[in-house]
Amino acid sequence: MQALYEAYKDKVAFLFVYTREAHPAREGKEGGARARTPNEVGATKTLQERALAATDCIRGLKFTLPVLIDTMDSQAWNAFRMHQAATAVIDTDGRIAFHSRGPGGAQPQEAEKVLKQLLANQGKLGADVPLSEPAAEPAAEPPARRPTTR
Amino acid sequence: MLHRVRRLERRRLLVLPAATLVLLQMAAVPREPGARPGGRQMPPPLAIGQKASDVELPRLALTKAKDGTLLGALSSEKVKLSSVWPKKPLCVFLSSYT
Repeated sequence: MQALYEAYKDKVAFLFVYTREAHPAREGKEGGARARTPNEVGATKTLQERALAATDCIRGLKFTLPVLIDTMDSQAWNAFRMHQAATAVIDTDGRIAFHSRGPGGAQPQEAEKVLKQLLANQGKLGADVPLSEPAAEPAAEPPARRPTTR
Repeated sequence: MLHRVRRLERRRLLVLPAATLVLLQMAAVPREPGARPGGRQMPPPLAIGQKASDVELPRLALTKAKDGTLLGALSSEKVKLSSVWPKKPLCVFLSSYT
C-alpha cells in the first residue's frame, strides 16, 4: 500500500484508517505465543490508546500515508464492511469503484488497476455503472471478539 | 443400573439428531473466503457503483522527536471523507496492527 501511495499520491488521495484490533492480544499475558511477535497490541479501549497503537503500526510498517483513527463505535469499520483489513477506492462522485476485505484485504495490485481506469476517465466510474444508495449499515457494532492467544 | 443405561441411550438419541441439524445448518450458510466456520455472519461486501458511506474521523498528528522517533497524537482536526473524494479519487486502506 505504501508503494501505491508513493506512485499515485499526486493524483489520488490516500487515507489509512487505523481500526480496532482484529486480533488483540490477551490482556496482561506476556510470553505467550503472540507476545513473541513485535507488533503485539492489546484491544484498545480509548481513542488515545488507539492513536498510540496506530503510531506503533505506521512506525513498524514505515507508512507515510495520512492516518485517521476509527471511532470507538467503529464507524469506518462498519461503513467499509471490514473484516481484518479492507481497501476501498471511491471515485470523485463518491461511488465505490473497488472494495476488498479479509486477510488479504489490501490487494494493492487490484486497487491500482481500478485507479488507472479512474484516472483515465477523469476520476469517475464509467457511466454504465448504475448509482445505488449505500446498503443498510449493520445494526450495531459487533461484539468485541474474545482476545486470541494463538 | 439398567435403568440408568437406558436413560443415557435416550439422551444420546436426542442429542445426535440435534447436533446433526446444527452442523447441516452451518454447512448450508454460504461463507466468504477466509471466514471461520460457524463464525459471525458478515454483512455483504460493498457493491461497485454504490454510493460510499460518509464518515468523519480524527486525524493522527505526527511529529518527529529530536532523535528522529516518530511521535503520534490524536489531533482535534477531523476529516470527512466526502470532503476529500470530490477533488481526487480516494483510496482508503483500513487495518490494525494485529
